[in-house]
Amino acid sequence: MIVLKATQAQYEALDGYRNGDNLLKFAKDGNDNWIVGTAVLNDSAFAAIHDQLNALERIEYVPVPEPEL
Amino acid sequence: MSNNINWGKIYESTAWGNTDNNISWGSAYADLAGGGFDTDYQAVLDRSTALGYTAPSAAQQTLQNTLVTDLKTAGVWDKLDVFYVFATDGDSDYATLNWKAPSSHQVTKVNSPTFTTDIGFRGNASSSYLDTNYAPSTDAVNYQLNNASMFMYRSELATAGQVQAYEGTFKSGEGYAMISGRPFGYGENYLNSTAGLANSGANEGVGLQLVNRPNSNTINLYFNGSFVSQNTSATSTSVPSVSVWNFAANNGASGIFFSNVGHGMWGMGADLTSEQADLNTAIQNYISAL
Repeated sequence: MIVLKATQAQYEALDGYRNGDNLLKFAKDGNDNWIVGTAVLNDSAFAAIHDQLNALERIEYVPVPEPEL
Repeated sequence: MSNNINWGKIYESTAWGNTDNNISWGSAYADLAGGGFDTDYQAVLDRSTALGYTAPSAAQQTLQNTLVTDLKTAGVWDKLDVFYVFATDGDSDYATLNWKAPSSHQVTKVNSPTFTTDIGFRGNASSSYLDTNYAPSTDAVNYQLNNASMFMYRSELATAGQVQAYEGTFKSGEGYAMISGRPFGYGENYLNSTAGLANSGANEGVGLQLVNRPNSNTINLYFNGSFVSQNTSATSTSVPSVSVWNFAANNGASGIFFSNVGHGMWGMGADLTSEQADLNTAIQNYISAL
């Protein structure tokens, strides 16, 4: 699964972007990268930042290790 | 508006143009709004209109009104704090409204979860989720430490992401509120505890999964109206302080347990052990009519 990876600067610029009841909030992958799924690229709620989202690096998603319960 | 229905006057008169035939429908049906809907359901539609959302079709509004009245008849409605109906032919914004209190705890769509008409929302197994903005420790009214419930109508099975497909809250140092969409052999269900209740093959598949806490030691699990199992040693510890998520668990940071499970509904409130059969009937009737 391909996801979008943000640098720290990109994370700080984009994280928390809100449009109505839509929110962009980066998650961590298993390599401690800030990532977000590619669906945000096609979401009209994020149209205003599509250029910045398109600039994010495409990487293969690495799952987060599952914690002990 | 007074409850002034003069039935005798109507039936004794054949002159329907007679201005003495004064019927006041609105006040006679005290729980009905102007459009003939239950006032609480009408409040959902009114909130949708105020926010500029696209409401469901007229036919589905009737179904949704029936769902609300069925939940009231069953004694469920008054026990809920939040109730979301994602399975709708309204738009994805309409689907975010909290029916129990339409002006509060509206769901936030984080990172573009997929919305499918009449099915609901679905996660993406890496980053998307729904944030209910409902944090039990500060927002709960009916959901209490030793009297609580959490349920989902699972409309789509998890096929990717964390194998347990946990959803809800998972913050270190406090009780979890977490329901697992991954059946049999994986996953447990938690309510205000760090001790859980394991899933079984009986709650595999699409349907209504309900977890109740009726007292300080017990968690029970129902699926599609049938009892699955219980744990009488799941001692409650604390009510979660972070908001409840769908398709992942809120760990007070960037989230954990992302999966691509899909939901048609979600709700939380007081223990529903006694009402679970009627809850299931009301929800199944709605889903099957879509």
